[in-house]
Amino acid sequence: MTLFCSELKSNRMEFALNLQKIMLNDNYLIAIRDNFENLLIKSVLNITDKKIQSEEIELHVKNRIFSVIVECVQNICKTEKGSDRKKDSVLLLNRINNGYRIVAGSKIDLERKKRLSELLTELSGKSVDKIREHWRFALTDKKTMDVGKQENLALIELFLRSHGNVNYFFSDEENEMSFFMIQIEISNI
Amino acid sequence: MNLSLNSFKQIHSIMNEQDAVLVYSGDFGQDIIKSMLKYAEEKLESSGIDDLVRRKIFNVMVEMLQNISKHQFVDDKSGARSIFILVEKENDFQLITGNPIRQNIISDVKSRIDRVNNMDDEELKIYYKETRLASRISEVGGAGLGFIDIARKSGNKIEFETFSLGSDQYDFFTLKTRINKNN
Repeated sequence: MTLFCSELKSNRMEFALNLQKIMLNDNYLIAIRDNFENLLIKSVLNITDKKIQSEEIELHVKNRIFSVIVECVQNICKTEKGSDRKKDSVLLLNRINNGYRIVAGSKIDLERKKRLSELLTELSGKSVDKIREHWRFALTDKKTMDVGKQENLALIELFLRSHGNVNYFFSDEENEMSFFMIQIEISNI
Repeated sequence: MNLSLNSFKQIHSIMNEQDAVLVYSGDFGQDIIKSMLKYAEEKLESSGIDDLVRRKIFNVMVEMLQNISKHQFVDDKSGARSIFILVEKENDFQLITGNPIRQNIISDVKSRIDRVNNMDDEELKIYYKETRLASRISEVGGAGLGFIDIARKSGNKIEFETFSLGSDQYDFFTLKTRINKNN
């Protein structure tokens, strides 16, 4: 590592190189960390659009990518208004061999973790056709009208848009909180 | 946990530690630059940041992104690309760029930044005018005003560091500018 005298005064910026290496290794295109409380979705989609427009992907693939990003930003990453304004949510987009991968993560409480975990386990064990049936049922079922309906529908939508290519992970933290990560792969085909 | 969730955790952890809110790595074409500026504009607008500070951040960001767009070399050996990071701390915003830089121009870049960092506002103003009058457009389209502009608009010293990429031609050059939230 080369260091100039005048550089010694500055704070270390090695993290920029480290971030660049990780992003390069896994083909990440963009990473956004925010509360996603505000109306940033349009500009997030705009950056994504510019980033992928040179790659000549089919319109239906692009639409699926955009839908997944919208569902992630509006449901997974969005934090409750009035809660502390720490930017706990992250959205990443990366290019993979046969398409794109969107990874979203957010800090959630244990009650939400339990609800999401149950639903995700259920969805993971179903075929796409069964998930579609589940979606139709969830739209009309009064029981799912209460807590988290919007979020439940969003998760079902993520499974449908990705043809079931969804992975997720919960990482328990202090203060009865958990960090929830979900990874959705959209194939070019 | 598979590899991508692992790297996601790493990125999230670095972004948390450093208070980074936006990280972009790859090609810096005009369309991408415009989209990132739009993102920053909307983000700053919704954060209730003072108009003057917002304009400063925006202007410095334009300058830094244009700068990186003109100097986006790719080091074939390490594959290193350019990166832009927006950091929001309690008292300031920090704009950070990183890009591979040819080793044979590092000392020239260093002395240009040192010169700018050693000037006060009035000296910078005069130096800007002199440089503009004497400037010739370089092969990458710059007139040598970038660092002066960044220093003038941010009102703070420019910080920089270089890191080895293990290449015999390129190092990784990082540049940081701070813009205070309270003007």
